[in-house]
Amino acid sequence: MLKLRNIRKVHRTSDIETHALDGVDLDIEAGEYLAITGPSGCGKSTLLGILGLLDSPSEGEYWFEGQNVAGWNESRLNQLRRGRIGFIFQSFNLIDELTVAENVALALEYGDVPARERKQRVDEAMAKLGVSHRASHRPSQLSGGQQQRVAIARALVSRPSLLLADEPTGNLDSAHGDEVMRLLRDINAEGTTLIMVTHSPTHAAQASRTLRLLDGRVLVDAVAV
Amino acid sequence: MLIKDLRIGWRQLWQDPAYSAVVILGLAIGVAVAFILACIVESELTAEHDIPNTERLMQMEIRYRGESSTPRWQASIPMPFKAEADKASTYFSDVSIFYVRNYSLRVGNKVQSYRTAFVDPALANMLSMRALKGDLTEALARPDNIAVSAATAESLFGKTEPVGQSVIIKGQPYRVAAVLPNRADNSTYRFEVLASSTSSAWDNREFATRHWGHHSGRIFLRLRPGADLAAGTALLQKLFDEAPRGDAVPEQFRLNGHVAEVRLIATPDIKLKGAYSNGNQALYLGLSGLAVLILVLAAINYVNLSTVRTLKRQREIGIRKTLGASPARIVVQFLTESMLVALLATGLGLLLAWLVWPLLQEWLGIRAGNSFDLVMVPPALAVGLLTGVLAGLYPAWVACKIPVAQALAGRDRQESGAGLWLRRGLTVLQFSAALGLSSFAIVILLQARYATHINPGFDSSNLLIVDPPSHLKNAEIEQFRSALSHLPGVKSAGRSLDMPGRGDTSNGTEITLSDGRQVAIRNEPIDPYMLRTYGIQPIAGRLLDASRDTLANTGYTVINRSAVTALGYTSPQAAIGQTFKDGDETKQIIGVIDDLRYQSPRERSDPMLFGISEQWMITITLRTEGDPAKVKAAAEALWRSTYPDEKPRIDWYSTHLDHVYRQDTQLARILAGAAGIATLIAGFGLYALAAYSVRRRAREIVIRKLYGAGRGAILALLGREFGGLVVVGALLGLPLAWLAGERYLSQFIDHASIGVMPLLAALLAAGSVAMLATLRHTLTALAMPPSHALQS
Repeated sequence: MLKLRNIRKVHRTSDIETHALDGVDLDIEAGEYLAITGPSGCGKSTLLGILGLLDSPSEGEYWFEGQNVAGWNESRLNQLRRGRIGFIFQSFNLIDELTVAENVALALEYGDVPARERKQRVDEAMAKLGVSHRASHRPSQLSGGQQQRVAIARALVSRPSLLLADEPTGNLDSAHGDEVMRLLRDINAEGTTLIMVTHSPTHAAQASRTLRLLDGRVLVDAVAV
Repeated sequence: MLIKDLRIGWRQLWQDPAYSAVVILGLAIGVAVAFILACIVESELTAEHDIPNTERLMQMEIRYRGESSTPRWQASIPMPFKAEADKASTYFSDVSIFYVRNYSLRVGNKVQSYRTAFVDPALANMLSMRALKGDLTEALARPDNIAVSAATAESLFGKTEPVGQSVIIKGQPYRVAAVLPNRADNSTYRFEVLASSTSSAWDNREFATRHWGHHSGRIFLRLRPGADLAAGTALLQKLFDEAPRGDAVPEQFRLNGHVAEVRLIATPDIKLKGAYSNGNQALYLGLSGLAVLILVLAAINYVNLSTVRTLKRQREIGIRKTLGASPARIVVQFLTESMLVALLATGLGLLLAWLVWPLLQEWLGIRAGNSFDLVMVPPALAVGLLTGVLAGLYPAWVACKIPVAQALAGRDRQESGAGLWLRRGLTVLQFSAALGLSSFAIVILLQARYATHINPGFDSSNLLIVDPPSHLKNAEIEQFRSALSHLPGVKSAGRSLDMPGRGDTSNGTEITLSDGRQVAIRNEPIDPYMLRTYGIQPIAGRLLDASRDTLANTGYTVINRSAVTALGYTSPQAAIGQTFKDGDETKQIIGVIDDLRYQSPRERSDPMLFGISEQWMITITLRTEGDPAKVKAAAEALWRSTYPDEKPRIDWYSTHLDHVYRQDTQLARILAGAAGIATLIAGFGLYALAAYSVRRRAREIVIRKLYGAGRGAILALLGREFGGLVVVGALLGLPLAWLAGERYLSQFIDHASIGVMPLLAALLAAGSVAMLATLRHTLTALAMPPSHALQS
């Protein structure tokens, strides 16, 4: 599904050049559950950004579902991303001014889903994540766990084949964190490819494969047995 | 505590110079504009501030039934009435005429024209005038003495001591006996030279002081302390009705039983309610409102920017609250900072106003003597402080509401929905005001332009107007006209009472038609060259024409189209050959012409007679060709060689017409300037709001991009936000502007077909400003990479 070859990402400022990724090779099959771990600054989020078509590599090839997207401009990446990738963030990234239902619907606003189908999908996603009764609430009126459920509902509503999660439990207590991890496992079990960045060894251990990065390189690529 | 707060406020400003410059400069511009507008109004209303007890200093005004459709008050009074008014001394302690004309004064080879007032000695007492040098009593007691203003003295004699110097007026020497303080240009009692009513320089005195039909000067009276104004006015009315004017005034020419209605207007009310005040009250109210509006618009920007800054200071506020600062203490701190900004802005605004004022005076053609009086500074500072307090209330309230724990945890609180809507509402108010003002200013500008370019009924290009010296006799004027007509570049030269449309002088007469009806009608004395010089064609009959008529043909008359109706003829053709009696003389109508633009577009055309007269053809019009500058120079050279003691009074028709519409043009320019500033302020407000909105919505924009929103979608998102404000502003402001425009135009009988163009132009201008104001932040939003979502 995803194939990375010798991916490099260099951040340049006026006098400093930082190699965020330094020759990463990676193959991810459909349906995998991959956890990316490593210390702060090792390139986890940079790799996630490239995998999610949010950023382009400085060098190398990135094959996304059979197309080499390295060097594509933002507009083309935008089009490719629509409906194919879902995102979950540590800080939820919900929009305070929108209701729960509107936040979930936002992921369908720019895709090809007909307007009449959107509501049905949003209702389904909210029901699946157990937040239907909060549909008209604002994010600030929800607990952290509920907010992350809404964020997951938004990530799933477009039925993406790839789900990217960046420290999804980072802002949650352990009970809510465990609940979110369970939800993610279920989603992966239904066939969605899941790539998760995490600091937690416990949560990483739940993945079928773990990638450990250090200084922009893949240090360990371990498949659970 | 206050000093400490001020110090903190100063540090805040110093730490963020860009913010400080923007906030202070924005408010300063508002203060400067508001101050200038206030100064204009103040200078108009306090032009006589140096005269004590002005509420008892009265201007006499009269109105006749006359030839005009609606009786109009006039301050031009028959000068013989002065002797009658003296009989009302029970009520009035002083009475003086005020007969003003431009007179030329010569010193050596230098000839200058000055506004010369012939007055009675009582005026010195009425205005509490004190001479700076010399003796005013002596100046007004002798017919060969004059007094001059300080500015006149300087322009005539430079640094030489003026008292005792001699000047030449119409060939005769006069002694300068006193130097008086300058009066403001907008003073009712403005003069540059003051002379006694017995002065031999007053060439027209014999006629002016004997003829009741000649309205040429004003009469001022001082009411005795405690005297009953109504009773005094009634006595003047009686004296006017019973004055020994010779011919009895027929009943049909009386107004409410009076020869003319009499009223007295106190000096402070002359500009507001007196004759010729012509909507001044509304104008001054409008300008005052405009000053307040501009200040409010500028203050709104301060509220917006200051609120954003307050939200940035949440951690500081949280720490202060943790350390025990009460809500009241937080409010005091923010209000103090706000007052500091307002004081700095007011100081800078006053400086800006002081710097810009001379240029504005030039542009607006205003000469307001009392502006920038230091007296205006304390009220300006007080208003500035008040603005600071009021504008600081909302940011202080926002500061009070910031939750401590959240602020200390670094989780900045966003402004509440209500707060955001309030600030959006304020920005909408700014745009609606800017749109309304712009649209209204365009209406006035178009109408002023229309009025000065309106078809006057003749070809007005290349017409040079010559106003010969006032002391010339009829034959001398004719001689001068003839000499002018032979100048190279002069096609023809004609004489008339006045230039059409200037409105300096008019003449009315009562005629008796063949069926016995008596009609009051405007009568314009012309010579046989006048109508041809103006290029006028008859619509029936023929014109008075030099090839057929001589100056002796006083029995022939041309009438205008309005007169055809007013005199009861069925058509212009039917009027030809008809006769009527004007006094003892029988006159015959030989031609009819279309209505000429003698009145302003505010008024209907009066019915008019044009006939050759033995006198009063005191304006010469030249139809010129070739290089206009050369023709004018040749006419001026002829003038100087013929009348070396007189300054040439020669100007183009269009120049005179511009002068007539000066007030409309001034108003349009003031409004256009204020509208420009208001639009700028509104644009600036939108810029601040855009900066805040984009920062506030950064996460939303990034998330939308994450889920596939392209540039178009983001543009649409921001367009709805910013464009919506302009649209709502337009919905509020434009209908009001349209109503105001319609009301303004309804004052004019003849007005431009303006339609919705001003509304669209204002909308286009505001839309462009809005686009420019939001461009930077829109581009920032478009450039936000979706990967920012991973960095939150």
